[in-house]
Amino acid sequence: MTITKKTYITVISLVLSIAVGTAVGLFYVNANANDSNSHAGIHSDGFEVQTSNLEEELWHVDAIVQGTVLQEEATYQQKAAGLKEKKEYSFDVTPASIKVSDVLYGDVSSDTITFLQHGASNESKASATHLKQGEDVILLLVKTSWGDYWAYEPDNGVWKVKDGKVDSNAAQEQFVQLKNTDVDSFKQIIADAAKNKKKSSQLK
Amino acid sequence: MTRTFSRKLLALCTCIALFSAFASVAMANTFSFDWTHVSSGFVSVAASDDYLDSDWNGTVYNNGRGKWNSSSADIFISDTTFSNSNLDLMGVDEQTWIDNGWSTGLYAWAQPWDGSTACSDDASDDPGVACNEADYGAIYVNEGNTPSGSDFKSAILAHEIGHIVGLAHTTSSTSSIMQGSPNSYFSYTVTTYDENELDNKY
Repeated sequence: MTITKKTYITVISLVLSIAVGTAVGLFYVNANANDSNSHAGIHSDGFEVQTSNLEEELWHVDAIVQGTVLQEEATYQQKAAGLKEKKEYSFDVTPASIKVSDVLYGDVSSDTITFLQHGASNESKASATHLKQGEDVILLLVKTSWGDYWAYEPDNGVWKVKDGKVDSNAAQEQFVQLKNTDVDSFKQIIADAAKNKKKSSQLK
Repeated sequence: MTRTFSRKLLALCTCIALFSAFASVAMANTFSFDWTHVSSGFVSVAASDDYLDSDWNGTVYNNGRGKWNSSSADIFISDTTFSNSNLDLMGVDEQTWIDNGWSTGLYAWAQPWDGSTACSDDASDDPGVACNEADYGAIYVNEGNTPSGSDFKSAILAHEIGHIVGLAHTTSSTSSIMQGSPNSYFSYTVTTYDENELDNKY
């Protein structure tokens, strides 16, 4: 079978149109991507309070600690609290024990705390974000009614210390610029902001 | 020869335009699950504010529903009692919100359900991963973050209702009630963009 010149040109044109068309379409979408909505993907079905500075961002934070991950504990199911009787649900929680080496903010009396994380240890997506044994971390925490802690926000609230620098998955504008800061400077900035925390002007 | 070339060029440009449009539509800001209470493309929601606190129920809630009802989108959100609703809006006190591990930086979040299955455990989950469809929704309002301004509160409720019927956050620089935070593109009203997103989905 011989490929005619006409067929050859048609195939090339079709491939070219798919490639160029798709590229143009995606370029259009990306060019209109909204910088100020850069963390829209984190809370996929929630609506965030807009904060203007770190002091406002840390309004709900109860404690900030630096510590080492001792171990991951067994995953358990927690029943969501405070909901009405029509629907009830439980969710996976995987705790981690943290040996506290420095309290930057708040009243943390114990030298070991239990840090709670969403998701089961056998789920690849969830466990990828879970803390690992031996990691040096700085955690921005809220306290449960039974004395354990969650990160105040799953990405902005967890910072890992490596080679004297800090890093996180934070997408919140005030935190992004703190990535790769040296650990002592970061601790000073965060502690000062927490001590001067204030409610967002959007809140009643 | 010139005429033939023009025809081929026209065909090529048409193909490019079609694939450009395809790529743009493929990036639509909707979840992959569908709300099941839909008839001939018209979306129906029966909502209840029985468990919203006084900052959010009554006028704020009714105006939130009204933002969708007064739009040209094919949707109507009726008001009913908790026992008859397929969407419940509930206030959650600050400590309970924390106990559940929900991000304290949120005003509210929406949880679609497929029968007895919660499509998401918290606001960071994409409900389209666990569910192909949803027949019930719960909207949890954080009583620890009550905004000032009743119209803003109504817009937040309308935003969350949008999630329950399958709209995701708008990621483009477009005026929309489905922006993920009150940024400069956040609209207090349902915009043409939002209407198109909903109508194109159903």
